[in-house]
Amino acid sequence: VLGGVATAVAVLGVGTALVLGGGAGSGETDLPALPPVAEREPETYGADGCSEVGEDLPADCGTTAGELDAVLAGPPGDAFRTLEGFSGPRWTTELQRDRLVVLDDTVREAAQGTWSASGLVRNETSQPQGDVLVQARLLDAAGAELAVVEGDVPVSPVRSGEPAPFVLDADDPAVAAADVASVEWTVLGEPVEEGEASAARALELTTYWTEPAAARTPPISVADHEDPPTGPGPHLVFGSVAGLEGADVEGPRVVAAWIGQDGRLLHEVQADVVAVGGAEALDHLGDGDLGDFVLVLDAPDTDELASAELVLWAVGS
Amino acid sequence: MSRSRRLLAALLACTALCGGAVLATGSLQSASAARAFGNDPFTDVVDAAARTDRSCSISNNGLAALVMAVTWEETGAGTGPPSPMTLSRYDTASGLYFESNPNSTYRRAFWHAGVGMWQFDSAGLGAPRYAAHFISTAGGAPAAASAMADRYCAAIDGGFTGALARAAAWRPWNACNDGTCESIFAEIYNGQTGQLRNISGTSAVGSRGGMVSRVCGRGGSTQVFAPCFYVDPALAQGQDWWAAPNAGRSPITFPFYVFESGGYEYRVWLREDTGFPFDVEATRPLGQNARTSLTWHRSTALCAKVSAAQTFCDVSPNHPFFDEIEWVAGEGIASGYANGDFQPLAAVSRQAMAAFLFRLSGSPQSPAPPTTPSFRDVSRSHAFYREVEWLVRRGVTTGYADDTFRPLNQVTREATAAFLFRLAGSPNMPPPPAAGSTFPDVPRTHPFWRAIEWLVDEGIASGYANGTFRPGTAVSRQAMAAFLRRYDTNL
Repeated sequence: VLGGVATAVAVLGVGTALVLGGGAGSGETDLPALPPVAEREPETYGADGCSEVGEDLPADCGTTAGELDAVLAGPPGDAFRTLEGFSGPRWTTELQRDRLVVLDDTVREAAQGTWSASGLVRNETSQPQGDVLVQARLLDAAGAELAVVEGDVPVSPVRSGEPAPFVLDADDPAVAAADVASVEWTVLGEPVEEGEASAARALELTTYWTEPAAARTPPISVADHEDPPTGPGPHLVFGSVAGLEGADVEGPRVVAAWIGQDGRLLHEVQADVVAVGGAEALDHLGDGDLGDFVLVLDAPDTDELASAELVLWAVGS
Repeated sequence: MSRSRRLLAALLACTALCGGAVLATGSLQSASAARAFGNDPFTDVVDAAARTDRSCSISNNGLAALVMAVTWEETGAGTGPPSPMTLSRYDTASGLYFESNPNSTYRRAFWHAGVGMWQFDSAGLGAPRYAAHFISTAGGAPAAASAMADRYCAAIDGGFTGALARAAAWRPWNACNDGTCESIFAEIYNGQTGQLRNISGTSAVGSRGGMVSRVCGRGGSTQVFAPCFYVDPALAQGQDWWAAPNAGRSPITFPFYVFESGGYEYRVWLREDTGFPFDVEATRPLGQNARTSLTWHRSTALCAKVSAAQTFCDVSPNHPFFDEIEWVAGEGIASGYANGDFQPLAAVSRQAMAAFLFRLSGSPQSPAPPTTPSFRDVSRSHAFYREVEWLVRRGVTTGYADDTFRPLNQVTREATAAFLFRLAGSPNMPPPPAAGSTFPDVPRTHPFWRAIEWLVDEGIASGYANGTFRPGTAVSRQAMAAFLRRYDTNL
């Protein structure tokens, strides 16, 4: 099935690029790196880029501010990156396919019951893409169409080189996973102005703590989440989003995905960004503003999550 | 203000404001109820609070109390002094174990994800820096103060006040979830006077909490040395319940070295600390969660020194023969190996012994070595030809009956006695002991009895605890260093 997926992506991807009006051809894209850490934390770094730890202690030059910036942005390839409005792997600087694509090695399909699939798409065009839609054409063993399932990508805009999660369920009409022999993928999007995309994603993500699903005493009440008074609480991740220079974000949200050790998407959840100390969703996040989020994942596999890689997107419009 | 002046001011403040003064001002708190905190960490927190930019009204002392309040809960210190070295014991994610294997034999090469008094974790605020930065309260306090000030002021801007704003500031520290931190805050900070109170200082807890500064080099003979730190839970200062083997769900790590370089955090476990058959190195890209980003290696070329003045990687000032080995190195009598080690337990060969004695005597240029070799196994092209021939001419050695010197044979304790005795000119002996011999395994009939008795009499060597000399035992390099140093000093 996966071989079929890869082939279908390759074929349909060309059509997708045409639908989008065509890209500028394969090439490279710049990373939306966070502002230099020496600018974000001027009190921490000296002019030589070494961190100052107390007036009478020697500066720590093991990693300079510039080196930290470089490692946060990540090396070439699919390595983990910490960028404006994003932290995680699979962001590429090399636009090899000039279209929106499904990253087939991230796709997890249901093996039984109703067909469903989750995974990552990636924008390999040179422009940000908004309103990204993933379509899966489900085929049986004879090649006959069982259904076309589609779903929105919760990250918008998806910047050039950026991955984004999707989840599809073939529940209306229901299609049994056992009946699906192959899938043809199509990813559609609408080009977005670069400036608009930058303003909507000029956000810095920070996670603070993770609480595995368990009964907790006392129950946790944080942001817009409250644990049930009895019984196990869900898997929680608490963090914040800060507006960077140029940020102008309406309805800020955080999208999260967990990538399992096999590289495939395990879970995807979304959370509003709420006022620090409160539970009300923020309408707007601008330069210098701070908001909190709590990711709530019900009944996950604790062991699987413990070794899963968390990918975060801070989004808005 | 300099650090020392600030420290003095902080201590005076503590004397005036903390436990003792509480009684003087009639507080209901007794001195025994005071919360303990290290003097230097206290200074670091006060300093950090004073230097932290903030966008709302909160006093320096108020921010300092905000910063300190979480530490007792985060470290489980009770009312004792929080330990700056505290290593988290809760998390058992497989990626934190050696080679991501919780069942590994080497599981105590364990990467503790949360470190320090504020339990900075690589999954959160601790991601951009390495463990030593956050174990040191000089690094951790400013980071905590900055995060708390930002969040406190954001909450104030959002219309929250008092306890709600403080709770918002503490949200990244989940141990405060049950409201205890608010109680502690009220305990240690007088909101009416704006003064800290009920904190008893202790000099037993330093800024680094027992973490030791070292100098580490990597890369074998081309090592570049840079600062690193030695983290040994057994050396933790403050409340160190977490260092006990059964204190948590995760293992407690063996001592390790930690440093950062080029955007990566390195933790290295040397075999001398672990007893493993190899060294272990784990690497984390700064900015990433250790649970999913560690790379493990089974060996390393790390050379850890107490200071740049330490000559050999494997001979620290704690080594019982440190002084003697540093002396032979400083005098040019012995040098180390290409990897920077001295290998103190390695045996000494006869050719090395020749070189040591030659150098001990000042590397004399005369007499020139003969054109005809004295031994058939030490030719003119031999690396130690000059030294061995010098030994012959000084009458220190005659070699074996078959005209060999056997340069690679190990030197025994009896041979060492003979070499040094002859080098000293075979001096006249004092009267023998009444029993005829100092050691039962070196009777008067022993061929080197005289030399061994002389060696002991001059204080160059002594016997073993059971009264024997073990004349046939090979001499280690560390023992040789000691013999040579005593020879030079005592004669």
